[in-house]
Amino acid sequence: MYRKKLEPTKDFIAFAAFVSFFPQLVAGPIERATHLLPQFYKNRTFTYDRAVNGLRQILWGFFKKLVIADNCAKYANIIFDGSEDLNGSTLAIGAILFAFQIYGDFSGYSDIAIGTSRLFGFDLKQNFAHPYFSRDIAEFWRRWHISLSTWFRDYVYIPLGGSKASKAKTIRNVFIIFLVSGFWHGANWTFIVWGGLHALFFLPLLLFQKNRKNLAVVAENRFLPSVKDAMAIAITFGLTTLAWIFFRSETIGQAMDILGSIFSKGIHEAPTVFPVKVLVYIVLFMSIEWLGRRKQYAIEDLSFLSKPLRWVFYLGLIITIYFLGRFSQEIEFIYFQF
Amino acid sequence: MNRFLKNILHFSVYLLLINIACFAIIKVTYYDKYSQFDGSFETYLFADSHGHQLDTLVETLGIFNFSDPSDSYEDMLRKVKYTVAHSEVKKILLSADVHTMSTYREENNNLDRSTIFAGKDDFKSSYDQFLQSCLRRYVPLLNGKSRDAILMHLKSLIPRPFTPDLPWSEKTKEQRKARAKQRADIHFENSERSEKLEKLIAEISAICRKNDIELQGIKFPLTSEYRSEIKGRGFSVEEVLIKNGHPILDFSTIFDGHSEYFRDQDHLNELGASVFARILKNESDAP
Repeated sequence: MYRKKLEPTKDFIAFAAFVSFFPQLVAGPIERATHLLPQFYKNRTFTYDRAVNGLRQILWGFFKKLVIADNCAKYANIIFDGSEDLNGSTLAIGAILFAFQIYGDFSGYSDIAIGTSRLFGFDLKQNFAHPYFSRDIAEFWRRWHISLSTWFRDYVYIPLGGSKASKAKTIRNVFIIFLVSGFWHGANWTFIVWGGLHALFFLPLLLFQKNRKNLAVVAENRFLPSVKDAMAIAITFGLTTLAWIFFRSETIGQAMDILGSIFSKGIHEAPTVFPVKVLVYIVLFMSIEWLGRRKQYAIEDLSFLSKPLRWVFYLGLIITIYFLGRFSQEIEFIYFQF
Repeated sequence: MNRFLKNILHFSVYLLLINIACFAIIKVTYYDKYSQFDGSFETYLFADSHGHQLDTLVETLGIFNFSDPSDSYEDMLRKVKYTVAHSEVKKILLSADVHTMSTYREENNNLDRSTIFAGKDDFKSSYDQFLQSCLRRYVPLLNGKSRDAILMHLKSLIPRPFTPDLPWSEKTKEQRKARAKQRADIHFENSERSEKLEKLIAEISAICRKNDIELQGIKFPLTSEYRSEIKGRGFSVEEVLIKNGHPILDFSTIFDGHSEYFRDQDHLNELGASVFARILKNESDAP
């Protein structure tokens, strides 16, 4: 309203429905009124393709949550809860498992929310765009929790001057946006350090004007990435995983101890917790993600399969969720707490 | 919309077929084994895997073994009520092991299976009854425990190329201690005593008193390694039973020095079970 991008609504029902729109109410994607509210004014018509697309995204979301996130959670929790007694290689595995836990958990929830909304005829914005295939931190933040990062960009970073101001102010703005982003997750120093680390990783790209270098999808016209891209992806994943250690730890002290163990001789010892099964799930999951990296979600376009094969794929996915998913314990979505 | 609904219906038929296939597996491997009951006995044994290890051995001695692995007192209560209604029961032998009143047992139970013995009063509402006795039973795709049972069955079909685990009596002292600790850690993961299960024992006791049925608590044989691991960690079921006027038969130490009778730290093998079945029959003075 303040920026005159949207007229105040006089339709109370539309407003109430927008405010309480259940699929994204608890954990996003964060929808702006300019995008979502006008959709309540229109008559929605049912379209077959949209409904099927919605159901497909919901199914993929369930797979991410129940098979990937919850299986990773089991071991990530064991490792982080007993971090004092574990060697460096085990702690490194714990950090990697947490990286996939939080991705599967949060992007899985977003997929379920977006898919459900699509079934009702509403379009929500994409919230994750295969972030672990990013080649630098700037690209990672264009692909991770997109609705939050664009919100911070538009309502914090740009009003502060963004990157149009002097170098010193630009650096200040970058730190502010990442520290606020960390603080948004909770009143704990671990989140602040997590945000601060991302600011540090982002800063060189901004200062050398490399932050908009990787705008296109990685290996757009190729099946596999180049060696350079693969190295860049691995480094970016390593940096984000390092920052996740702070995000997951209870205290700064715990995070520092974990990092100390990882960057010690202990990294060469055999891990004491090595969940082969879960690591195989992750490899298979990331392979599918890679194949579908050009789409909003990995299995969005299955048109290359005939209808019977598509159905076999859906049934196979349901059976996979049933047999490999974790149901023994209720595990809440991580982002419900934020 | 019609095309969508038609396809959804069509797809549901395939899901239904998968569901039927899953149900066919668990019906034979999971449910049928659990629902066996014989009302012609006068003495009934209610326990978890510690009672189940006796299999039909006690039945030839006049005690119907109504035990199943992971049965909690809630499952046992349902079975006790069913037994009272469908037999001329005179005596009940009830597990009084220390782990049976843990929150672990409260959470890990057979409530999805014991619904077959449950009456209307055992459910919170008609909806709860429908959910537990119909939906969870006949739609295994919605029941995680059915999934685990299918997986276990499928795993059992895969031939094992590895040599089986060493018998308990051939394990080293350290190996036994480690296994006993591992088991004790699972059973007593948290030190909370289940208030719910305590109330259910009192309810079983009240049913026995009301129907003039003799109730005896049974403490099953355990290895000395396991007993030393659980020392001070258990929850006294004895207290609850004694408070309600029921005697306890404590067999926990009778096989000390007889490691050849054990399959693992807290279960008997076939040999141990056959010896213990006769001891139980004599000591419990079953009719």
